[in-house]
Amino acid sequence: MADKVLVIQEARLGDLLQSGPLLEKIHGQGGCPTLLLRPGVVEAARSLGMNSGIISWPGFGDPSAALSLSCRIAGSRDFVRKMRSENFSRVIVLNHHGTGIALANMLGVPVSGFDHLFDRESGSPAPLGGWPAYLVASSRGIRALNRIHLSDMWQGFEGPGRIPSRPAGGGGDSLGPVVVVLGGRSPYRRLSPEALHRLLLAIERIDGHHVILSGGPEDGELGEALAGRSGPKVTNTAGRTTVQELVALISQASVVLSPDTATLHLAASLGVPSVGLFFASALPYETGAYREGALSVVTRQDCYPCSGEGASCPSLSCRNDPDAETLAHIVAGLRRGEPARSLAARLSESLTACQLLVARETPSGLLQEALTPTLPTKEGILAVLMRRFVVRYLDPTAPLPTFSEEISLSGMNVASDSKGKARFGKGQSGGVDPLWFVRLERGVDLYLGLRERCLQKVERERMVERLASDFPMLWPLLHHLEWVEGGLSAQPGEGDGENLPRLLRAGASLSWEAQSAGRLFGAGVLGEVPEKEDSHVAVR
Amino acid sequence: MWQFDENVFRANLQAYGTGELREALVRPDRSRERWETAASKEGSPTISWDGMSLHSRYDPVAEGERWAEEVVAQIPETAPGILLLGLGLGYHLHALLCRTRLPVLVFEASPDILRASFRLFPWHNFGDRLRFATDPAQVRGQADGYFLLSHAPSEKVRPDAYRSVKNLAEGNLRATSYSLRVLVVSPVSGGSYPIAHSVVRALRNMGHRASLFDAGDFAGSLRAIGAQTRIDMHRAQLRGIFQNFMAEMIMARIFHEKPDLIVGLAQSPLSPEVLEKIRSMNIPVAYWFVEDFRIATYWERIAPLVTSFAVIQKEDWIPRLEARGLSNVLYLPTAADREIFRPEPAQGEDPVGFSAPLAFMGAGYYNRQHFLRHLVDLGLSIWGADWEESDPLGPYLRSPGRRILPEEAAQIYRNSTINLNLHSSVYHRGVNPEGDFVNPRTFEIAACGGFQLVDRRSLLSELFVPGEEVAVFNDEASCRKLVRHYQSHPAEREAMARAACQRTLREHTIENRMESWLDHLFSRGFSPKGALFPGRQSVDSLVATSADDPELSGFFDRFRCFGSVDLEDLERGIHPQEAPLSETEAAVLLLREFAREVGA
Repeated sequence: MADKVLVIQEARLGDLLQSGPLLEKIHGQGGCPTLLLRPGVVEAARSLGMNSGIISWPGFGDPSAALSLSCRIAGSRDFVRKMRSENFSRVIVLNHHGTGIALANMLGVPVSGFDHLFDRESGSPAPLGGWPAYLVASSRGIRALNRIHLSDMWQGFEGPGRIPSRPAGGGGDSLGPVVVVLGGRSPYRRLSPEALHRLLLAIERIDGHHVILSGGPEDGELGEALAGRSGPKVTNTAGRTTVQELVALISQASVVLSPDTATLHLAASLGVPSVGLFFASALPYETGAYREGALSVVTRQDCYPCSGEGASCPSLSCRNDPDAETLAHIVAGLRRGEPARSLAARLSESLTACQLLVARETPSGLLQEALTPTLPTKEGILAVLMRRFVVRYLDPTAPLPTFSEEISLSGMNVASDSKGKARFGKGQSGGVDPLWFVRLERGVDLYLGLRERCLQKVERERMVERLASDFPMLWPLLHHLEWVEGGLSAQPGEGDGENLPRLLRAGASLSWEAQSAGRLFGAGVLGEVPEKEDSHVAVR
Repeated sequence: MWQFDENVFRANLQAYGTGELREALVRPDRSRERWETAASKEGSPTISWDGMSLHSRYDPVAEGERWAEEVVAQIPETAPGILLLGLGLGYHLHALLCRTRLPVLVFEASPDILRASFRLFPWHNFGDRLRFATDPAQVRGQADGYFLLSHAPSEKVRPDAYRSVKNLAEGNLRATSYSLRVLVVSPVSGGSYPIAHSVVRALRNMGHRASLFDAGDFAGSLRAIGAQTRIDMHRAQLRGIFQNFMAEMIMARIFHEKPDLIVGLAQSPLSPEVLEKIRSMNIPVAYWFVEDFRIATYWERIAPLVTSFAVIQKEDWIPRLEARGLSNVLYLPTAADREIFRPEPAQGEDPVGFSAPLAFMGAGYYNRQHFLRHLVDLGLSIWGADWEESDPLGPYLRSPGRRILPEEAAQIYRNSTINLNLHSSVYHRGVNPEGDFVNPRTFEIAACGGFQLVDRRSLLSELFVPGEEVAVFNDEASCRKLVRHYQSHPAEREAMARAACQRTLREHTIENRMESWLDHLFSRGFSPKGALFPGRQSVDSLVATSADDPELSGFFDRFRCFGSVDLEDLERGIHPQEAPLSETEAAVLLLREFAREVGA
């Protein structure tokens, strides 16, 4: 009997599209997924022809309206009965939402993904585990360091492994129009009208191909204005297409140029070449187009990514990189099928203020390969280290590239000379303090020792606080493992016989790789021992 | 001696494990962290819930026998059966069943406790005449005319769990039939401030859903306003703006809480403007004016705007109010908060630090500063605020400059030989010969089991019997005489203190006052009007409209005592840890999650 799996996805269309790899994975393992979606997304899902059954949440009525409680409860009860009668063998809850979690727990079948809320206003946090814990941790406070794609996290909800890598492109029509998406839900994550106008003029001048403007109803007026100013080769469809029509449009496009929107993910799902523009707090590592070969552009500004949505930024200058001309060249090159590396090399002079990334589907998840070199920073290296740690911890069977391969992929071109000291690429100054990695290594070792010892709660909390204070670079690790996971396996006999060994193995690798990073920057074998470390030795 | 036995459980399960009861009996414990069993001295087990024992820790068997002996005599001959609320482990039930042949229906709100009892007593031996229920809906129609008995400890630890079944059985609607949503508004500071907190506690103990608008949170702000400028006009303007701000907050709170009733205390920020707005929303306001009407005259603007105006003075005043056309007046003296003022010593009690041969606890009002000088040779100690160390009474101050907490005052009352209670006056040099109302301290000292000398008040004798429960003085001379007498007559002292304590706990607690007040309100036609708020609906109408859906109507029926409910109320009435969720309960929880998302 087929494994009937309910997948509860309560977010928007873009997230639904990013659930695609998970659905493919379920199919690949012989399962039969059914999506439970919010009413506003159901029609779109059906139009997209997603490879799964679709059920819609009922409306439940406006709670503030004077509808009879008995009608609403009866309606809710009918829905619960209906869902129980579907006889799902299991449920996967993708979102940290009370509604999906509540329903999943009522069906009486195993629940993976989110099976409870991490926090409510009124209560104290209830620890999470596995990929849900990392998803919450990465969205709260360590977002800038996150290098794991949302689609990969969701695939993790289903268990180890990823869908096989898919070839680049294969969709779209190289002779089709260039589709420029005017913007998504956030005003801070889109090009300004002036920038869009310049872009359209540049595309016409450099590429000469037909451009179709796409967007939601809120972009209709803007689209009309831009089309009116740009000449006959620009057509506006913003606010005028149904989802079905949008699917048809994108599937016939040669290139899609878009901020982080559902249309970008649609392009990825259809295998259409795309260029994603990521501003403010949007990150291609997290929500880039999930397709081999998809391009993403981000600024090199220090303030990127924003800690907020960008609302408090006076300049929004991250939207200025790259300039319209460069973007038009990228679009033109992609449309012609020019290899990404060659494109980056050709445009290197004009890509100094931004980074050009190309997506690589690997067995350990989607990686963003930097096509433009970047200065090594401790944050950049830490992000790589954290990704590798998390994959080892949560999906130990996933083959990882080597550490140096992954550093290289990230564009931090750090080579070492015969004495093991770092040599930096042309134009790079190598301002990383190698001791920072020595301390990271020490901090990791101390933390692993603490976990091995299984201390009592009060003592453990005290030691974790000390570690966080004395080794601030450990914060992302502690945030994930202590404050979201709640230090699972903290006590003997508690919870997870498998978790601790896996954590220790992943941690040992992290420690080793931190050491490697330190050596890369000239820290030497022994490094320095901070004086405060003595007080932590007791936990060993 | 009884002991837990799995074989007993199995036999009970076989006899009673059908339908919904079976589900409750077979699933694992879900409230394990709230209860525990322990062996009594006699050897049989006892059980405690939230730390409170449901049976005697010494001999629960004998306790059950005594209870059964007492209640059997009360059962009318015509009663067709007995409805027992609260099972605990069942000692009292077993004793009862051995003394009567009537059928008994037992309602126990906690399946965990039911299962524990099923492991102890072989209920199956009593056959069909014994039945159990864990859901109020299971009681409906099954106990008509039954004589109602309660296991007091079970009711005490979880009054709300048994309330609706009790009301069902009693079949009459009184104030106590409802679980009202009450918003209590405190003053920023002053004597009424602790009373507001006491009112909230009392209402909650009575099973009402009470919450507090704590204006005390803004005491610092009000002080800060005064410190910004010495220009009176500006201060007045700033305070006016602040008052408007407080009014807005109260209104916001009202929209959030959707109360059935608002209780305001004297000096609370319920200005006439706010009261007008609340009146236009048809929300009743009960205002407790615990002040001297001759000194605090703002009552003239407040009294006409509230539904019920409770006062602590009588003869001079109530006629005056009635002459103004106010018929909403109720005499309601203050009382003791038994959660703080009780005879049992508190944890960490300091019987040495908070005791004296003659104790006075109170602020340094004019009359007290003069009067107490006549008592300094009698072992006097003084606690309280507004006493000057440089004063002749300075040497007798025990904690100069420090405000004494209510819990500390309780220790003083419990541990001192004699407590002196002199009502304050700003223009008499001793006892106010026209003093009428009785202050809270009178009840608080009595509630702590303390012996009290109190000045004569015209309303005192109807609250306590002078000479039997309290000793009363008229002036300095009579006070000195009484102090000397009672310092050397401990037996008399203790007898009077005991009598006063018993009377207070019986008649003069804040719960007593709230019950009287609510009964008064209901007798004058008050009923919960919460259904007018968006999202809240009358339980009666919900039960009626779902009459063809027994599960749904049975679910709503559990909330009869609320009068009206919204989703939040329904959610609070579901305890997933204690019993498997019915489909209706699951539906409510799901709906509630949706409501949370939209912020409703």
